[in-house]
Amino acid sequence: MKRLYISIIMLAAVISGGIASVVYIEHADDRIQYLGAQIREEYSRGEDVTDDVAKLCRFWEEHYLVMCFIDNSNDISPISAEISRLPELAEQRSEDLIPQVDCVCYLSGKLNDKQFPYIHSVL
Amino acid sequence: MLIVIIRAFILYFVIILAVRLMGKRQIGELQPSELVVTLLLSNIATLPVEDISIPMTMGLVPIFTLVSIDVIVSCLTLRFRGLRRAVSGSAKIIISGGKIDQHVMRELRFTTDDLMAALRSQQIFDLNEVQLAVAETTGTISVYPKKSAQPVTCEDMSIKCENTDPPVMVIADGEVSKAALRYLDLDEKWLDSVIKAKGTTVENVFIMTAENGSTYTIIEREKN
Repeated sequence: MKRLYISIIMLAAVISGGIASVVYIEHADDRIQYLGAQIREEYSRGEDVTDDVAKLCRFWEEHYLVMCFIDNSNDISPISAEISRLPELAEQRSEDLIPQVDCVCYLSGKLNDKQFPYIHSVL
Repeated sequence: MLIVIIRAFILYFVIILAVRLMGKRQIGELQPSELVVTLLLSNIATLPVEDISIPMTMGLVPIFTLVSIDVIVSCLTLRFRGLRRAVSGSAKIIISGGKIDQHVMRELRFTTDDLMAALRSQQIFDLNEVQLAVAETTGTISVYPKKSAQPVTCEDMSIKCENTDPPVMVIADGEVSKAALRYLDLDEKWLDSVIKAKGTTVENVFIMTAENGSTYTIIEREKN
């Protein structure tokens, strides 16, 4: 009976950990999409976007380690690489900034989609 | 490289924990479901060791999930017979009344060589000695020999025999097993007196087994 209880507790912990990881990455993706949209909007209005880019970089740095626990680092590292280019592009007010932000948002969205057990990803 | 070593170290203990959680049945003959879990565990455990881009959680989560499911399913099979049959299958009688059921053998894809090998492993070399043979769910064959082929028992000879438990290891390599003494309802005072009577010490005893307070065997350690 002891083994059964341990197994039930372990399975419950694994399932709740799985759900928590999905929620965590979804929250992170929402935030990245929000900051991305804000950068796009401010850029189109010709405003300074360095603050928002810094916010995005800080946010990613804070969550990067936890994400490495949740997903394969091969999927996390490309996002880090793309984000690391943003501050320089923002300072230069480069035309490449928005495509770069789009790329970050796309990769983050893809990472988020990967977490949710859709039939196509399960099979 | 260091990461691989640390991961291998962690997974070693995790797998031991997982197998311990699955219980003693795991170590002996495997039921089909246990075989599946064992195969999967060994495969999953290697992934995070081989590829350090895969987080450890990707290895640990499926291991704990599989083991938990296995324990839960095996507990459910204790209660539900139908589930037990679905998961483990059921035993099949291969020889009944001394007659081989060829239909069951075909169904189990059991060759005559397999049957003879299984009988030989049970010390039966003549098919005519078998009364009943059952193919268990673990894949082993249990054999019940004909009365004429069974060894003579005390009952057959009308001799009164006392049923006693087998001897228990009380001292192993100079170390006293308190659990064994408790099992035999004996104490260390008794042990000291017996050891003294033999003219030795506990440290010098290689093996000591006992059935009760009066029947015991002491083998002393050889001096190099």
